[in-house]
Amino acid sequence: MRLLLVEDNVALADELVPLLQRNGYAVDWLVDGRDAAVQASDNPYDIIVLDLGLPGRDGIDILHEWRAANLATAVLVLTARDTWADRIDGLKAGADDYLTKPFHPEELVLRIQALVRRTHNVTNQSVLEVGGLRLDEDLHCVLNGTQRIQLTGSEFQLLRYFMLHSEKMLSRSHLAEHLYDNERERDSNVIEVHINRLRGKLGRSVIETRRGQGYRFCGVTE
Amino acid sequence: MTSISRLLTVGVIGSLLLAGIAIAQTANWLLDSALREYMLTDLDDESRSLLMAIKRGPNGLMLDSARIDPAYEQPLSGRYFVVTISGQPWRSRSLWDEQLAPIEHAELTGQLVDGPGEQRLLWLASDYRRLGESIAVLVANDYSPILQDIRHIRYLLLASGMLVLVLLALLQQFLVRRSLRPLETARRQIEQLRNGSITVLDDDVPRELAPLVHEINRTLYDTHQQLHRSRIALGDLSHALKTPLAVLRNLTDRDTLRDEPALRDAMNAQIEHIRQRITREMAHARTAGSHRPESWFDIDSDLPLLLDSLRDPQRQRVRVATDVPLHGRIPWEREDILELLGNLLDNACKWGRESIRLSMHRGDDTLIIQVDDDGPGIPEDKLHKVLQRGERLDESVIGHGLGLAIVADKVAAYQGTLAFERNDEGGLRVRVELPWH
Repeated sequence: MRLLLVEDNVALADELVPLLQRNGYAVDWLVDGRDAAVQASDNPYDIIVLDLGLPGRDGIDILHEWRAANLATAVLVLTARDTWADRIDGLKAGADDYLTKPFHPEELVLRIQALVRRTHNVTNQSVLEVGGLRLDEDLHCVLNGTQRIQLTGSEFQLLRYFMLHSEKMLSRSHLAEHLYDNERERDSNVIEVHINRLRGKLGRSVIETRRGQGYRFCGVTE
Repeated sequence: MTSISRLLTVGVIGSLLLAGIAIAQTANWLLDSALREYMLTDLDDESRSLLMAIKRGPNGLMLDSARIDPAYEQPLSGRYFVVTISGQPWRSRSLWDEQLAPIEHAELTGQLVDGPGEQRLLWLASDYRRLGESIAVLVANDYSPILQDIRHIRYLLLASGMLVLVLLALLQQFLVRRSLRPLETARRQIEQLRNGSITVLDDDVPRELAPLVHEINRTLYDTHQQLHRSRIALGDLSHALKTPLAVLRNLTDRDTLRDEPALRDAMNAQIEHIRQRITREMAHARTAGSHRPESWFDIDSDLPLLLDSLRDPQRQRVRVATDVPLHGRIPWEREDILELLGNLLDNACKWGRESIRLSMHRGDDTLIIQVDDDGPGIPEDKLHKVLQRGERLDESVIGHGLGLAIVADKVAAYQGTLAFERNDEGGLRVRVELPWH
């Protein structure tokens, strides 16, 4: 799950980046509004967290531009502007959610989670439930019936992405683009390794391989 | 209150009236004395011709009636004489049996004395010596026809004077109204300024009014600028404070602090306290009461957006019903009404179980906003707390939420009233009334 964080306050970003990474997001962090305007269109982000008071360009402006260019990525506005008029202007500009500073770190994580699920038309519950599996996003573990299986960070990230895109064919390069940030080297063999580990924990049929096309999440069958 | 137009009218009409009366009186007096002078000259001629009519008769000097003007023979003709020759009075026949009373009062010359009937007589008494005798001649003429003429002239003067006065008064009224029209225009513009249909006064005014209008416009501009500057400064300050607060709050999530829950909670409580304070004071300071219609709340476009913004995942469980029969712009700053409604609805969503209801109506000179929830309501003893005009919510009720405190501040700033009631479902009803200016 790739996330673009646009925040000009370094101290806050220093806290947010590790927090979001811990929660299984591949995070790119930008400070300048002008960079953000370009980079969001060039990379397949799943969600953008946008501060409004940015150097270079105002956040609302950038948001307008993205929406005008048909960029459909979910945007969570993170701002100190906390009046209802600001909130409504933000939503009008195309924000999907609006969180005001200061905020609880958990609240940000929950809002991002809810927003991601909403964009994938998954109902918002405390756990993500798809294809007979229940994924706990706080504890990074999965429930298969009554069996509780702990996952590593990478496995969690991969499984969550599959569960949010169940029944869809996902190519290896698509997975690489959406699971790793710009800093990390994209080795598609690593994905292969993680998929095999998931199969080992949940059964071979949980993820189907179609040669030349990619992978598909099928869930567990009774 | 004094009225310039009344002061001008009273002043001008009053002074015209006084001047008119004085002129009429003076004219009257001049006319009267000129006529008397003229008649006295006549009487003097008269007395000389009487003197000429005296001749020597058998019993000394006598008056030759053949040489006397026939008017003296006709009874009560208005022309009379008494000629006293050596103590012997000869009276004109016209006197009939009337006495020309105080014959000896020679000093009455030029005066008016009551004569026979309604007559008023003007006298001339002269003493002569002729044919060795001392002769006193007293002639009198009836002056009352002239008095009557003078009276007529006076009435005529009065009537025409009144007419002129009325015409002048009308003209003056017209002039006063005309010259005060710019004042009336300015007054109407100030009214429009208040209700927001214009933003500056028209400066195409007479020279006398120009400094006033310019001063008002400059003050308006200054106030607007100052308001704008302080809003920007406040926004910057709030932004500058809130990001560090966000950092602090994230820092409290660090593992080292997780092991010290008491310390962490205390820090979080203080951060929350600062946040609430900033938010409330910001909201309070930003309350503007704008006079610019383009920044007024638009029911048709702003309300749906506001209701949309409530439908985020956290509030999805609550249904929002609306009863708002109003349309178009209402004369309050968009930001303030959004803040007010947003906080009321947010609060209702927080406490409501299934549905909340927003209604907005126009009352007698008020806007009535009512938000109902089906939640637990607030305790009876707090329920009776009603905020009167201009009153700020006290800290005890703020415990119910920062949102309501902000609502209360907005209501206070707009001189409205705020009431908490229990509704039929046992939930809370917040009722706001704002004076519709």
